[in-house]
Amino acid sequence: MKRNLLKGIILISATALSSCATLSDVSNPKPFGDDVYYTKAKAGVYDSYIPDYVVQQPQDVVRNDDYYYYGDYESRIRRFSYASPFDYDDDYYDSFTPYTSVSNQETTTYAYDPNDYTYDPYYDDLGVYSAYDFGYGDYWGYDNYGYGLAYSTFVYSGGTRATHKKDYSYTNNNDGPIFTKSNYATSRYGGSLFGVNAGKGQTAITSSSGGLVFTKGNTSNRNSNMPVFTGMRPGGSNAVYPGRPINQGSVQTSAIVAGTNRPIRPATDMPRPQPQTQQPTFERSSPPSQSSSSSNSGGGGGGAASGGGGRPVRP
Amino acid sequence: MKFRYTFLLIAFSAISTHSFAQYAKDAVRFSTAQTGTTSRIKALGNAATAVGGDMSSISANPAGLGYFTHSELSITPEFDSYNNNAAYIGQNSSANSNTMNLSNAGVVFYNQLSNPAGTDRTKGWLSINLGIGYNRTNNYYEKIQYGAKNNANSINDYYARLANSQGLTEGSLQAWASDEQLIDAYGSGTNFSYQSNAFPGVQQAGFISRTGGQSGYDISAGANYSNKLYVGLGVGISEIRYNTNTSFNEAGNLSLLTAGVPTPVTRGFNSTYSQFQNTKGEGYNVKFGAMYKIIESVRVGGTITTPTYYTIEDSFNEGLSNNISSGPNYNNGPVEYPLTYNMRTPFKFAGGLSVFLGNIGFITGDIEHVDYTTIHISSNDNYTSDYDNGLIKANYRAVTNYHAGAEIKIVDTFFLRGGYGIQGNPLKDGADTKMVTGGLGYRVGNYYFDAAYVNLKGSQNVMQYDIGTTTPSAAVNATNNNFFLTVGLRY
Repeated sequence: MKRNLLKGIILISATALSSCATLSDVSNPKPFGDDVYYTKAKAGVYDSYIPDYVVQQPQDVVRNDDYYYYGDYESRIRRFSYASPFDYDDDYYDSFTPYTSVSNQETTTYAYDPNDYTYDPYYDDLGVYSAYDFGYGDYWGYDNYGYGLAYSTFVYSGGTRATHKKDYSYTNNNDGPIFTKSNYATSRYGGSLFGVNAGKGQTAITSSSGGLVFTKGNTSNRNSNMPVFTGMRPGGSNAVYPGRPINQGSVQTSAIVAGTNRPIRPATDMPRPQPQTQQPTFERSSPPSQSSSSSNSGGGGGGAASGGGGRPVRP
Repeated sequence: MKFRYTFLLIAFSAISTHSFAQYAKDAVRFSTAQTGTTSRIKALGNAATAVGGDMSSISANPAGLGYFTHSELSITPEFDSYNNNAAYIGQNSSANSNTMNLSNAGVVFYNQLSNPAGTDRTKGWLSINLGIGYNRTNNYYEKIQYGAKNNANSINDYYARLANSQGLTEGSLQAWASDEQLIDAYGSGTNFSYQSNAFPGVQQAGFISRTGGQSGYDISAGANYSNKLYVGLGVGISEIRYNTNTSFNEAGNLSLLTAGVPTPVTRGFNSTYSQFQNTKGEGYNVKFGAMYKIIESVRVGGTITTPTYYTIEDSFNEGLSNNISSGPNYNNGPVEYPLTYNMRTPFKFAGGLSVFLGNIGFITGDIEHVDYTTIHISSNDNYTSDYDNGLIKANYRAVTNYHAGAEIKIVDTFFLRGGYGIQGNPLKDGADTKMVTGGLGYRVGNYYFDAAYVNLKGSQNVMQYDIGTTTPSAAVNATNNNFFLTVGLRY
């Protein structure tokens, strides 16, 4: 997967490079300079824009139609029937003023009349509406088609048309539709605008009783300031952990182990009575495993599964 | 081609002993990802916090994206020459390798903002630039081998130690060792202890092979306010892939009891304790950055990187085998201990300063603070993390990393660079990693080429088994010579 991602990045980069219309600038005799140094950015200039709310001619709409497809298949198919691809033939919106006073839009293919259009404050500066306009029309939230997005099934509840229909009431008089939110979508999105799915995906947080206590050790070796592991592990010494056998925490009183039948041998048999101390011939740059060895030997409950699961303690 | 990784800033500094069990070591190992940068920044000691205008800004300080005045893309492959020397009980061994890899790739999209006509076009918010980048942020590739004759102790002493402290629980490592006649109970009645059956003077050999690394994918945006203040925000996705294969071989003579023979016999033995681990993980974080020009030639910058929240899948396996001359061949395991856990890395705070010397070059430096004791492993139903979290707090520390570098324009299109860095070792009393860097840069038209050399030196002690303060360890000193080449285009 990672390799695929890498290849993807390389491919995207190469595509960006090869498709860049300004690649010819590579041969620009005047290079762009080095942004690490003193290059300075300049803002562009825009003319003050005063929206006049005059809807463009229908043919203009058609011309840009492909840019504004946002609905489902139905609206896509019918986009040529209306001035905007976002309009609805939903019964709730039959009398949307800009289109006509004729009630049945489906039979009024070219009933759109710009003269009927009146600026409707519900359609501009509506916050989320205008925000979604960004990038699809001009940058000021007043593009001629952006409000269509407000009808998009993607905006509210994000569900199907059926869900969408249930979510809103409307008025359809000359002032145009007014959207209000109902509570129908509760079961799916918790009733919130964009559907915070509270209650799902939460995991139980449990706290362990007991836990570990770390105290300063009092060893005499060079790492005397290393803490020593003490305390109980949650679940007690008899806790069972996946993958690991139960640690009885006690030395068996018989030497009959693991299917063998070997007796306890006399101490005089020991090939080397005690492990010999051997200091390394080099200087340690870091401490040996005091904490680990403490848990192994003096941990008082450390043991092979002192981590409470997963892999056993090993150097 | 075997996919290996080359950027080895942390391979040495992360873990200098292999002494901690369980997941604490890995948690720290996975928390030491470095800032992914281009050759230009690497040549400056990897000091990127207060530079800006370089592709490294995507992952280092997103505010630096605000410096861009054009779109740009670049790619940085890397060649790594790695070698180490391991000293174990007076014997030296070495290992080396040469690898190539992709270190960095990215693209920045310049997005000019507009002011009303008639207003000052250099005031206000001038641009919001977007950057997308890939970086290799950590390298776990490592190959260590060592060996010597040990007259003082044996790994069997470790098995005996486990048996004495935990008993011969069926299926445990010490039970395997007993089953394979590496240890026996000595004493009488109930007064006995487990001891090694090996005669003094065993030949030991350790081998460690690690592969994998961390990768970061960053999407960042940086804005420019009046060419004075720059702010940025980045979102990062990190991936972990870590594999390690460890084996410890010991050969010598054992004192054994055989059926029907009243006195012990001596037999040759050859045992191998094997561990292998496969770990994968994914995480995400957020980075905030700001830069400010105190005066035109002096920049300060800072970043705050949130912890990376990982979900990690870990599979650890171990097995033990023993071949006895004129006797049985034993083989136990491998047994797998799988676990999925969550991990949170520390916050990272960085601050830097750059001073530009007219148009002839600049000096930059930054410091970075990371408190490794704040690493946290989360429990789930099958795993209690208190032990590992305790180990982290007890054995690791907060570190400050230093990076500094300088760039000089030899001529208008040719740059000379040098730098130095100190990477703190998360382990208490661990040795820091020293980094010396250098590089060249050349710009022609809207292309640029940067080369960097990074020399890293670090050390660690490897202990294959643990019998307390007498545990023998291998001192491993490693050197990395890394070469980076960045090819970039502005458009």
